[in-house]
Amino acid sequence: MKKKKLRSRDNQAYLYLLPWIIGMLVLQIYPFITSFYYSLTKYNALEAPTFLGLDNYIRLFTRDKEFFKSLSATILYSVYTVPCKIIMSLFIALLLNKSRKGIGVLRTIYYLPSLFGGSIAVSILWKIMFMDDGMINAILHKLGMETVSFLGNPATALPTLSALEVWQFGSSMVMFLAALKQVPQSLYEAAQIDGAGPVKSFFKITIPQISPIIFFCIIMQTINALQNFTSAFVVTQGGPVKSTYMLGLKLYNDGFLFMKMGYASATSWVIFMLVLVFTLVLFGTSRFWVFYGDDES
Amino acid sequence: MKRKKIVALAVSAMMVMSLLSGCGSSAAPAASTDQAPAAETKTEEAAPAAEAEADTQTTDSDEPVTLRFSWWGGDARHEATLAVIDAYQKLHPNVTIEPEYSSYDGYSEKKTTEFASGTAPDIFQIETGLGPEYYDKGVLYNLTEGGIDVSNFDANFLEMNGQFGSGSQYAMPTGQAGTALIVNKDLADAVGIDFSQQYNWDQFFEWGKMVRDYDKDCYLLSANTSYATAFIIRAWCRQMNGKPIIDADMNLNMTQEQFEECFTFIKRLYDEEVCAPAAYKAPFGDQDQEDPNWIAGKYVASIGYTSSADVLSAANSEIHYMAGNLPLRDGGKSDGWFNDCPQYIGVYAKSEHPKEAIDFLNFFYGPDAASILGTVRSVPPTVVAQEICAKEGTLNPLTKESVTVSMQYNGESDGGPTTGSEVTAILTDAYENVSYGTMSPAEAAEETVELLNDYIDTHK
Repeated sequence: MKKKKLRSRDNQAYLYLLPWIIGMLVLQIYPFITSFYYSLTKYNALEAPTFLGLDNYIRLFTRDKEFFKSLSATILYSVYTVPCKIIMSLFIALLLNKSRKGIGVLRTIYYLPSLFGGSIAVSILWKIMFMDDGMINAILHKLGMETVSFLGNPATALPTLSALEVWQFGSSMVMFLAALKQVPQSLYEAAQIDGAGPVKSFFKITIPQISPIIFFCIIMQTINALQNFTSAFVVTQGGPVKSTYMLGLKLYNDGFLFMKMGYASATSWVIFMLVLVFTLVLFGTSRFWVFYGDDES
Repeated sequence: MKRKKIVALAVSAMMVMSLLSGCGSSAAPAASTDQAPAAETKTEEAAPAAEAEADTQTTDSDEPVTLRFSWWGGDARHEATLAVIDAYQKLHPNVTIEPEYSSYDGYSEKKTTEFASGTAPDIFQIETGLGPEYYDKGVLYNLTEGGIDVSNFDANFLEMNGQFGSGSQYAMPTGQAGTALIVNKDLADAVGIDFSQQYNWDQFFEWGKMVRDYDKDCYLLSANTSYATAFIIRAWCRQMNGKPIIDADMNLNMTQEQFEECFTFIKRLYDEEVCAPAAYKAPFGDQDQEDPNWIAGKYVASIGYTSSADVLSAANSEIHYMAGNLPLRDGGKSDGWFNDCPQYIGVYAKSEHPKEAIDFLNFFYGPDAASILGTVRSVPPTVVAQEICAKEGTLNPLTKESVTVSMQYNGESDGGPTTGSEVTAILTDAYENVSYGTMSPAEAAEETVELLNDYIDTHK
């Protein structure tokens, strides 16, 4: 009787999950598999695909100079954004992890930029702010400093886009804040008795205690950064001189501008493999620095 | 701990996969449902088939019909086009036209996805350079067979604009247009530059120096990468060889040495400060009218098209503007400059109501619409419409003047593979690399020829 009741509850659970399962199959698994098939074809989206085998992949790695420019811009973007965003969000979380009057309002204010997400509106705002005659240069000018062509100079365009990503640190910050709240106060008290200062406590207690969250944030931010599209598309269109031509943007141009869907699908699979490799490497290193509460070691 | 790790790894992999599948191939499944009919929809065969289908579907003229019409442009164009739609709907209460309008950003990419999924609008504006590509891909309805009224058009003009060598009209030109140099006459006069005389390309260097000597804040040319690529590189080949860079038979007509010569010229334009620095111009894209230096009257001339004359002159109404002559090559095989159209308007090959769509186009190109549209798409394409606009004072004099200037040249359009999106991107990249100094003219020429040959190999 009890077993029957349990099975019925299981079925109910599957029923509730069904919309998600259907969505996952139709909107994610199916495109995922078909994109792999298209990556092996010449396909312009209007005519039937022609099978090419691995030609698209061979071409990407042996003849497409743009691909390596895009790859390097994408990796550089990730290198700029991920550590900065993690450090920034952790720093702000530490500042906000205090019981003070009005702290809730401050937390909301710091979280606001993340609410906008990687939206078009924010990217346009960023573009206007960093134009030659934009707000940032106006401030520099007021301070008597040299103005900078942030978006026109290949050396500054990528850091400018990275700053947009770093500015949206709210979601990581909230997770860090939650993790910081979970660190037992007794550990700090014990450390204080043993003579540890705030810096030592931070590195020896705080960091190991919140390391699973740091690990999670690094993984998620790396995935996000490797897939950047919106800001590169809206703010710089991949320029100047391809300095911000991310793989996501190249994929978009190949597919939707040049109508090379097969080739674009191959690029998307390369991005997938790249993300997978980065993720596996991070997982590989995690055993050296991520501390789980139930870890006997 | 191990179990937690495995679960974490699995969840991460799932997220990576789901994010990628969403990003990487969203258009693919939509396209796949449609690929077979699209493959069969090839130009000549497509139109009669679609027409026959249309005949069966539009037998009753009072039957409610909904058409979608998409275009890009600025506010003035949007307002005028909406007014034309309104006027047409009043005359045809059974027809509802749903407008889909935007700026140019992403417009062509959106069309690609709509073609792939078979959901393109019934009527849509087309970038001139992409017309031949769309015709090749079979997404345009044969307007001649659909009964488009061309009685007010010059037959030669139509043959050169929208027939793509087929003998039938597949797209209608929206106006008369050409390359234009919009000149700040006040500054030109102050410096002592006369753009109404005929001159050669080297004249730019002398004039450029005069401008810099006159005022260190001023430049001779406001040149954005997109327009300047067409203005210099494509015109260079037409003038030098009398042919487009890549012709309809997919022959590359410009040698590496010729590219190097052209790129050396571009490099000099920046080294000798004839053009404003590329890094300064980049953030404005092709919107020269938004450049504060243009608004402040610090450029003598802006490289552009006749269709941009009105927005460029509107940026500062206190300045007097004129349309300048265009540079020629000494001993060139052709003067290279030609008059074509600013955009096309076409009907989708898979439209369910092509007859109604063509009926709307007949109204759109008729006298009632002409007085509403004015010059929002450059000078109207028919003499009748031009006369109406002139009479009603809606013909922008600078636009008209720039078209008149472009019509004095006898070059031939290079519309075709040269103006396709991929070749345009290759040429634009080369221009940008040279103007920024990230590549020498020789390196850029070598890479350009390599990429163009590669393009030809994959498209032959």
